[in-house]
Amino acid sequence: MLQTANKKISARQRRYDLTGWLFCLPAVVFGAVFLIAPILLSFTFSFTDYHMLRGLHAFVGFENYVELFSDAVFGKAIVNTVKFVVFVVPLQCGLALLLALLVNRTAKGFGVFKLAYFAPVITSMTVVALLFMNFYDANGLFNLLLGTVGIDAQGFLHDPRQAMYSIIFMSVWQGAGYQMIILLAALQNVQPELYEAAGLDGANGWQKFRHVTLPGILSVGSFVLLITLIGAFKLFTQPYIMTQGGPDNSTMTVVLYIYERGMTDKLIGYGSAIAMLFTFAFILASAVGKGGSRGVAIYRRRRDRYIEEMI
Amino acid sequence: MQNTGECVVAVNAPRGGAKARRRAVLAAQYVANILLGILFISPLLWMFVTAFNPIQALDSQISSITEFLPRTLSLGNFKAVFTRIPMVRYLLNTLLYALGTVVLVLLVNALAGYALAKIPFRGRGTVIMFIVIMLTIPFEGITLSLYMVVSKLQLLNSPLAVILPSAMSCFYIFMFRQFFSGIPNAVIEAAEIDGCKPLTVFFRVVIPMATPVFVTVFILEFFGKWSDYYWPMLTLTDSALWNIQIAIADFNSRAEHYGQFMAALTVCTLPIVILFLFLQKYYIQGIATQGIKDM
Repeated sequence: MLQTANKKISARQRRYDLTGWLFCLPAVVFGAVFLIAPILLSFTFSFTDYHMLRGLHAFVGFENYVELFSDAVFGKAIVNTVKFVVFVVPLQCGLALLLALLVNRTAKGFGVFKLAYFAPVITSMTVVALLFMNFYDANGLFNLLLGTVGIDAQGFLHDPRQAMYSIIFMSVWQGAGYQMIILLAALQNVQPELYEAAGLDGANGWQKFRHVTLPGILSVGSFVLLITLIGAFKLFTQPYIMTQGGPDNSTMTVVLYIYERGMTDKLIGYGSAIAMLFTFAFILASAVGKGGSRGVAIYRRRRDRYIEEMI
Repeated sequence: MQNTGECVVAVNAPRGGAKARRRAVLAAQYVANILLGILFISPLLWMFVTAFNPIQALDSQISSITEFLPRTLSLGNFKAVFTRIPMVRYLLNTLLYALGTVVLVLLVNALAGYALAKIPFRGRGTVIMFIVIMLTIPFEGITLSLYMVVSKLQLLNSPLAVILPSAMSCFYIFMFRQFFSGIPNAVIEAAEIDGCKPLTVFFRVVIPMATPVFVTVFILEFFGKWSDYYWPMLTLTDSALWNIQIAIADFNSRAEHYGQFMAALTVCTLPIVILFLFLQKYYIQGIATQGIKDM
């Protein structure tokens, strides 16, 4: 009796196994070829002298990694990437918060404002980069505008001291609308009663912002910071199109350097070593960031419980 | 929750003038929004307007702002873009890559997501764990070896080079799994009792319920593929296969004059903006997902 029941279950289980794996089969095949294999290959290539045309001749151990340590351009690429992240994250998120506060209304015309702020996000980075390359040109729009107020023409992308900041400025403008929409949803989720209560307690505008709005959007805000941070690490398209990493490697970034050494110089082994370090740093940064977000969420839950107890 | 319309960055004003104060805040908000709005939209507006400029000049030959702006509107630049380069082909290529990817992505990942949510097969936990780990790998970290794989499979310079590598996405599988987990088992069991095979259940019962998640994935993938540049640029060196982004980047050095290039940028931007206006509501709903996907 028990045995037949067992057999029945196992027949059923076998049917589940078959359909389950069949349903997963396309994903498993594509995943094996286009995700797992490249990950394993990246790791393996990074210990070889693999050249795209000359092929693989030898395993060189940690040679690529050792060489990277004394590679001045790689050092510059790291510094530039970090610089981009450090500037873009606060600027873009700060601007996005300002915009979200400004459009947080249902009055007439505010839909149009939202659209204006969001339009650059829809526009592809390629178009934006090509457009601003034109604006930043020696005879471009920006220098003409500066000329009308009596300021000398600037080098922008041609000046090693200005090139990265020119890219940062453009990127902040292009992306802020995205974070704005997410922050706007968070703002609209803050309970109106809290503002009323704060008003009754005699709080002024700044105090309401500081003690009601900011805590209310804290967890969404930390999420926004995290995705902006992670996106900024991958900076590639802007310098690739606008400067090719120049002038004087002042806009060379880690991802662009992977491309330069791997694709342009055809040094797959060396490029893979850069890619491995990038992947490692990326996973580390996002893990730390996610840990931070989780910390914020825990803090928020505790605070909410505290408020509930008070009431 | 509906927004009350109360602005949080309000200026402190004496009591009793609450109504006047609220009106002043609204006015200030309008002014700030109009100024910032103009600032934000002006680069794109500039691109759009100067595309209609009939003057055939390079920007190095233009010495004042007014010369950039067209005195008469002409469609000549747009005509030139379409006759000088096969723009229609580039647009169709882009459409093909985007739609091809979307269809494959929906099929491959929805099937897997459904199995992981609703079929208790052995090894399910391992697969889920594997997916969660793979979620952390950035695409930029594997491009070189992925390029070598695609090259060894003889897929370079074929539409498949841009479609197939995107077919499986750990993120989408995860998203589908989350969604399908919410479907009551009773619905699926009822269909099974009626004698439906698993695939029939999937296509007839589950898929029709999954429209919201399908729309989100469609938008993410379609908009993403439209704007995609890095990977197509690596794998499609044959100009007949270029997508629109590669084409305009290449046109940068070949445009005869300023307005012509702006027209090309406009042609690349307008279709996706129009599509956005149609799908605005759904796009905004799924917008946070986009950020998580890129993580």
